[in-house]
Amino acid sequence: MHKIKHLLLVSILFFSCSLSANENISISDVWISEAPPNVSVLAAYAKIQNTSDELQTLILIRCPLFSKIELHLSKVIDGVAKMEKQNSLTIPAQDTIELSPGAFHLMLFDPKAPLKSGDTTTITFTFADGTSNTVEANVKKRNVSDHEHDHHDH
Amino acid sequence: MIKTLSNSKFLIPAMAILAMLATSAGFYISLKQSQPALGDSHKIEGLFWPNPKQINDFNTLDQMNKPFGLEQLKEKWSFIFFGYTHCPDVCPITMSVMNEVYKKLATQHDNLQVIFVSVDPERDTSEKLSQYVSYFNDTFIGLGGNKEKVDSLTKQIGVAYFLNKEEQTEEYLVDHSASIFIFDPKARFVGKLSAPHESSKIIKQFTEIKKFINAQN
Repeated sequence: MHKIKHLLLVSILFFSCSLSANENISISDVWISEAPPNVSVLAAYAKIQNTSDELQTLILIRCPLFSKIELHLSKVIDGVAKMEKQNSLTIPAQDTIELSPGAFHLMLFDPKAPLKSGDTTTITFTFADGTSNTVEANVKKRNVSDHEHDHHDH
Repeated sequence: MIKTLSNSKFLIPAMAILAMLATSAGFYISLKQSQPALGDSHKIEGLFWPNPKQINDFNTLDQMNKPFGLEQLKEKWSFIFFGYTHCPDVCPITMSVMNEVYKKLATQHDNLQVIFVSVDPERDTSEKLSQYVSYFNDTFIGLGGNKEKVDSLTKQIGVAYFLNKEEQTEEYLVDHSASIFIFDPKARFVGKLSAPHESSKIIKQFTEIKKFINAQN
């Protein structure tokens, strides 16, 4: 009886997990930028690809190592740098949105421990239809040539 | 018409006009030749010339809580960037780019200093600033103190910033100038480099500005 209960629980968990993942979304190149040791706000970047014919809306991002994650867009208007908080992010059908330095990025608040290049964690992206994708995120040092490459792409 | 022009009655005023035109053209050419540098200055992106701004003393504190004012800008080429440590994207990008710029330029140029000025001195204590700037490069300088001290510099050179602070909260965003300000060894504000910042572009602009300023001295 105990065994059956256990099996049932495992299968329910497995079933609910596989049900809740968003099959239309592929999230890759997820990385958290290493920051000075006492900094309480970090940034993370990723590529979010929508392989379906319907738009997908990202509404919530979580990571066990941070108290809160927000989505922001960096802008420079008339020489002034600003960040605009985004309540959601729409990924159009068959499109990819890149969260990259100087543009859309995740703002990670209050790390529970200092993060160093080489550390890994997971970030969970939740969509408006209730689905969630959990992906691995690597902590990396900022590579200046990456930024500079990004500017040429835009 | 030709007949009219050849008429001596019109010939004299026409010659006078021609002579005036030739004189002013000659004057214009000689003016251009005597000041070739003025022409060149227009080609250097970010350079303020012929009117670099001589600023007055200011009273910020560095990351060791030591006074940092006009005197500390003298005898050095300074790159100054204004930001805050709670800035996760634009500020660390710029600081990383400036580290790259500094490492490359320091092999050929003496007396360079890179300065990060916090426009959020209430949260950015000297201890925070010290850890922040040294993470990017241990020669970098962090300036702050309090709002009044920071404003003694920002107001003189028109640095825009705004704290998006609606209520008493420790969590707020700050809008701030994205440019890098360049001061020459006479502590004159000689140039402003606009974002987005790329190390190769900054190095090129700085090298041109320095060469131009040195040629004027």
